[in-house]
Amino acid sequence: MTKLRWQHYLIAIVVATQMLIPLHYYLARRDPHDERFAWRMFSPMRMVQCRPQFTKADRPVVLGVEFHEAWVELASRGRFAVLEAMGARLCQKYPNTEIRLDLTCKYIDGSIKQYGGYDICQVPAL
Amino acid sequence: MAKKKSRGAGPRAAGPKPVASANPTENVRSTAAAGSPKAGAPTPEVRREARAKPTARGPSGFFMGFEVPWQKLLAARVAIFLVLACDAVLQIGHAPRYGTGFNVAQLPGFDAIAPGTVAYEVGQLLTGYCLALAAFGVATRFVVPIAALLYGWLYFGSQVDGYQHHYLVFIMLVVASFVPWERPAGAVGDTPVRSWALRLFLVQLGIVYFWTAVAKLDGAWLDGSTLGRQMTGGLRSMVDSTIGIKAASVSVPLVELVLAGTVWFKRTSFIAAPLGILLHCGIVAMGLEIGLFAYLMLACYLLVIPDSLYRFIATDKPGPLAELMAKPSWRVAGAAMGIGFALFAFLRLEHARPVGIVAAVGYAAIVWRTWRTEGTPRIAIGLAHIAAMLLWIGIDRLGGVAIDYYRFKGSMEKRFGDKAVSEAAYARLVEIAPEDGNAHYQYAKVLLDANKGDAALVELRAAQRYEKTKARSFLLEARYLAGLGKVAEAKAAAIAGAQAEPSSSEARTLVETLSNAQAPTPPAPDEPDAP
Repeated sequence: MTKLRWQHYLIAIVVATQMLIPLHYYLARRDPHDERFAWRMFSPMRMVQCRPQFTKADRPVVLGVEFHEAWVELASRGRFAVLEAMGARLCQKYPNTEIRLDLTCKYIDGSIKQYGGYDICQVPAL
Repeated sequence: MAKKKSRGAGPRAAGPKPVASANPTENVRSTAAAGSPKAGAPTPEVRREARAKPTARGPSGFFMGFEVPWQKLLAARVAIFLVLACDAVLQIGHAPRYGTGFNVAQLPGFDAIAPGTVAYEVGQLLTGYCLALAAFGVATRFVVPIAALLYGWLYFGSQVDGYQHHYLVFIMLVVASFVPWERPAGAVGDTPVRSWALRLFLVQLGIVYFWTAVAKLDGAWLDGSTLGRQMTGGLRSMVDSTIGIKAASVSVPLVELVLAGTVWFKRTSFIAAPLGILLHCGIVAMGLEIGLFAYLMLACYLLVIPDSLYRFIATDKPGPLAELMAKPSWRVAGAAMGIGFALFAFLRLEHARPVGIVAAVGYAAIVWRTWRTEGTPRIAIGLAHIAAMLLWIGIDRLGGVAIDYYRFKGSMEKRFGDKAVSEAAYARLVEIAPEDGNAHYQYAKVLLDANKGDAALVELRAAQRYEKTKARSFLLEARYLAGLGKVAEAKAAAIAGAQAEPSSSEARTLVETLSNAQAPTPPAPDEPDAP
């Protein structure tokens, strides 16, 4: 019988993790727009177009003024983690102010979904 | 799962002896260790043979017994690492995205060590240097893992510019750290080289194809709507006039599933190679903004192309280039250090010179180690150092990397950071791109913000020379002059703007306003720096 060597363990770890980690997207990921680590290149979800709208005390926040356009682009893909971090940043910058996030996403099949719609300083997760 | 098979017992048993994967030895040299510091010590060839023997007789099997002809490994090494080295340098243009004061890391805990603009630039320069050395087969046991670590840090540190192909490149580099990329002693074209990591590399590709096919088993993909939006131009016309976008959409996951099952298996490489090359050529033709990733995948297919093709072109002795690279030479080693420093004069990236000094120290360490373990350093080491420096310069010049870097840095600092740093970035930008009208215009705006009106006017005039059909630099000049009460000069500038860009309603309005001697409207708020 072949003696197991460190290479065998490394191979097993790489193969197992690469087969299992993508399953997380299909089984447990709360953000359908976040396709990281799931090998979903060119997927239909990648074509989603989202419109994140932050308001500060009922007045719209211009995201391009607050954040670099590379982050705004990620936000327009509906990435919850990025939007939540943006919300946290705005809550920190404007304390004791209601920061509301409304996220509207249009999918390639024409369907539209809304997320948020509340003060993200009170409920920091989408 | 493939049947376990002893590679040594096959018809090739009488041929060249396989060289082991656990022994990534240095390239063979045509002469013995001239200049070896230890008289009477075993020659490098003897040491290499001794290291190679136990594993050459070592385990066989699906992973541990995987072999490829040396020529195949060499071709893949050069192509894969060169593409990755070029990509690393090209990424530097995006470095300013990392310094905005806002970040979301790929994984928890990485925010604390996330790179900023400078760290990103330095990290990519070092990654490019290491990968260029790897392409030449120099110190791959060290430079490939270092590149993997740097790449991992840059990728996991931020989501801002990290896509799934970057994740794949990171995994590839980790696995590639265990591949014996350097020429084994006495290896010729068809000498088999054994490497479990190469098999793992291909299995990883298979897994990616599997999951990416699964992602496409979706009505929105199979009905053609997703691919239809991504595919444009000539390729789209070709598909529409032949099989149609729906059939093409159905065929993509099918091809990927076939590749998932064939790309890692030698017996099916005659299926995987043409299919995969065709698929990735199609992705190249789609012109997606994924950097050099499609080319990287094509380079990976050098490992998939059937061995028989390499054996067909293999020779039974090293070629003249390989012999030249393997020759020992202190003169070349020394000259390379000098040439490397001389090339500093052509470096334009902000921190390339200090990083170049670090690279030179690394090069000296490799030369020293080679001298201690093998004798006089071979020519390949010196050439690799020069090539790496040339790669920094060449990719910058061809890809406009430094120009993008300073432009985006100037814009980013103006909006989110230090205005003095922004001014310095734009000053450097107009220095390296003196005919870039946008650079002069943006620099002028920063100078006006800093109340440096005279300097701003010089830049506006330069912008007007290079942006002959745009009104904006004339209008900015007009507003500035009007603010100084020089209405007649302001009006002349506004008229010049309207003549340069007759469709500009802003120019016409400003001319009318100044003609009526009213106070001019304030300039538009800062917009991101766009050409």
